[in-house]
Amino acid sequence: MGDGSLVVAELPVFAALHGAPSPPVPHWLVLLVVVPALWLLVTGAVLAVDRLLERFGA
Amino acid sequence: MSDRAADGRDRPTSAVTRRALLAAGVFGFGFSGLIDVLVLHQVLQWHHLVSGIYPMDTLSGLRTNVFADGVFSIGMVLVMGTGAGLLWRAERRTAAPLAVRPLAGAAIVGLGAFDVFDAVVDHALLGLHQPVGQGGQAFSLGGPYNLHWILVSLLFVAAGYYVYSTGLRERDRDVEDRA
Repeated sequence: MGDGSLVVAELPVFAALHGAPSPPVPHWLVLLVVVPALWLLVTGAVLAVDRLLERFGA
Repeated sequence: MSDRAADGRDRPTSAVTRRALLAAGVFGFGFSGLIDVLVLHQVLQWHHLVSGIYPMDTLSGLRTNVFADGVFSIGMVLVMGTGAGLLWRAERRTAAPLAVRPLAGAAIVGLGAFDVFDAVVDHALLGLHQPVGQGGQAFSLGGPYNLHWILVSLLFVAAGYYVYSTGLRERDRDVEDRA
């Protein structure tokens, strides 16, 4: 590690990393919240910018 | 002013058309940012978003860079999605389908605009990263390949303007043929 290079253990690329610490909330819950939230954000941004353009006559 | 200019066929004067062009440009900007992250940051790994500040060759530095790349990607998805949504709404407001080539040109201009922004703001002004290799310095030239980067980006903008203007001429011919 002294030469500044990254040293990691040899791990199988396609196998699951069993034993890795699990996140505090389940994966499915994260997906369930994050994916609709992104869609909502995009929708909100479209409506907001559209209204702004309407106001400024673009 | 000629009759053609007066009736607005030489340039996009209708609000819907202007809005569609702006939307296409926003879409191109976000698309370019996303392609940048996917190709240069993740596949080729030439640099990461903040590899001028956090090293790419230590585990903690790499984790920080991957996190920053992820947040940036989400931002670009939002920008691209917003552009696509605005374009969809602009298309729904028109009686006739919008001409594709001017919109494609606007998207290519947006694409090049992102690359110019990346080269000037991220590489040169902020020094977040440089095009090839880790490192970067604020208020610099942005690394050894940044001038090439800016030149290619400006070529993208010029190519987009060419597609846009030839597309407008093509649309004018279509209008005249129908009249």
